[in-house]
Amino acid sequence: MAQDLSTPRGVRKAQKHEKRAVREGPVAAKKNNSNDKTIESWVLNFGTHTEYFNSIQNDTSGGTRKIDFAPTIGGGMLIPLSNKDFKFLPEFNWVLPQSADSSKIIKNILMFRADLGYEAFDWLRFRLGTSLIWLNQHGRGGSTKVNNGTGTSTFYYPDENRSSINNTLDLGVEGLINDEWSVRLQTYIYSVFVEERRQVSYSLFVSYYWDR
Amino acid sequence: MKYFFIGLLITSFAHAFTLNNNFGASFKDPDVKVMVDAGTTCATNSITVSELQGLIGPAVDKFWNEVPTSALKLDDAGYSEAIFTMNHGRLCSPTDDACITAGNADPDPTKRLIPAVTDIIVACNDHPSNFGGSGVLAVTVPNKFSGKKIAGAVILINDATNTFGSLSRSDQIAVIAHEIGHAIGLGHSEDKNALMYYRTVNLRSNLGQDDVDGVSYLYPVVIDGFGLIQGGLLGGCGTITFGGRNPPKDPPFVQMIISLGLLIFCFELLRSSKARASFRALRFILFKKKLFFRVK
Repeated sequence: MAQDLSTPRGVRKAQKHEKRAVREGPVAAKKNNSNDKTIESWVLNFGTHTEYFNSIQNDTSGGTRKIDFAPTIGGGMLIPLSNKDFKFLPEFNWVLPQSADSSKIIKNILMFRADLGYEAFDWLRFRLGTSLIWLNQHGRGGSTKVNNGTGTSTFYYPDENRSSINNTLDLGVEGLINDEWSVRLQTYIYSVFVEERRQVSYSLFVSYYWDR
Repeated sequence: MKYFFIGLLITSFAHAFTLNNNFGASFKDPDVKVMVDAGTTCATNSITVSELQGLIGPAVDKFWNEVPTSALKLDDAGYSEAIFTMNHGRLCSPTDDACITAGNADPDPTKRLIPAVTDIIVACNDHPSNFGGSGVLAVTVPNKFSGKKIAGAVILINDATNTFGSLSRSDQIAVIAHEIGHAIGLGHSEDKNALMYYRTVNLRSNLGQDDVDGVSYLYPVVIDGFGLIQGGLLGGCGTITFGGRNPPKDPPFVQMIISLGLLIFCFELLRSSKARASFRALRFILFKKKLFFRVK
């Protein structure tokens, strides 16, 4: 069976394959050879998500947010393509619900996404892809008294469930620590063609890969 | 117990956006014009009508038009026709009967009720009953509704005092942007970083998270295909129709499939012999990676 021995990563995979052949016999090893698989690996992502890099005011002196802590989990798969330098990487990520004012509003961000990955080195993968980013906000209604400058006024919390869906262009770079672990900077570019509305969000992920 | 586990999943942030009213009113059409009343005068604040109009563009472009998860598109549309009572008249909510009665009964016709308007109209005004005190820079009242939708709103700059005129231009822009926030349906936020906080801060450079969340809630985007809001990625072909918040004919995943199709097309281009040779040469130049280095 053909093995990609051009990289240390490929060599390690070949060695793993040989060990498995010795342990379980050639049939089992052949069955699990990554070159024959539709899905080479499954992936689990853990990380944090930052909305609108450098465009959200976060202090009263005009400073803008560079990084946010919004825990994100997700999963996906790594599908080999005929050109071995490229992989197809569909995945689903979920920015865990964020709640405001004692859960009066709960916000969820879901990302359905896919990348073409290019392994420039055995330790570095570039990603080009697209996402559907589903921003959902669920309001529970009610009212609150808020300062209006001369006293207080009654304002209201939303009481409906509403969603915005954006199709983004995504660029990412992933450092492959070993066969199982990687770290990734994943960016999402909103409104690519409209400069006025263009924004960039990003996620930082630690990913765990395991063979199918 | 299940709420305990759900609670563990939720990460909290301190404040939330609020709405002007209890039925979540917003403009029906997310393309909203913002105009200055052509006959307004801001004598006390020493601002000309053209200077006032010059604040509108930055107020909409620097703040509310920057949110890709919102369909709202505010248009700096110049001047509206002069309204007789705009400079001195009384501004009332359409449900405030006492205010409307008092406004209509004023012996001075220039101080009577400001009529309902369409779009968002900005003007200076010196009627003392419109402002709670000299410290109030401006007020906004959506004064025309169509069902539960806002049809028009009036923003009045307090011209009974010169407080607004003494602000820096960037603060004046922020004040106008804040009032536009009320006009489109948002209430105050308790977050000091939000534009919808009730008072000015040292420097207002961008929207806060509350503002972004609020405008995205009131004017959600059904699907924004790479920014071409009027029809998603296939807008030019007229395949996906999108008018404000009307559902598109094609589900959102069509958009993603099209995007993926484009990517795969690019990938196939890369695999064509000439493109592949060019790509390998580029790869060699960029990464010094050997052209052929594979053992089968």
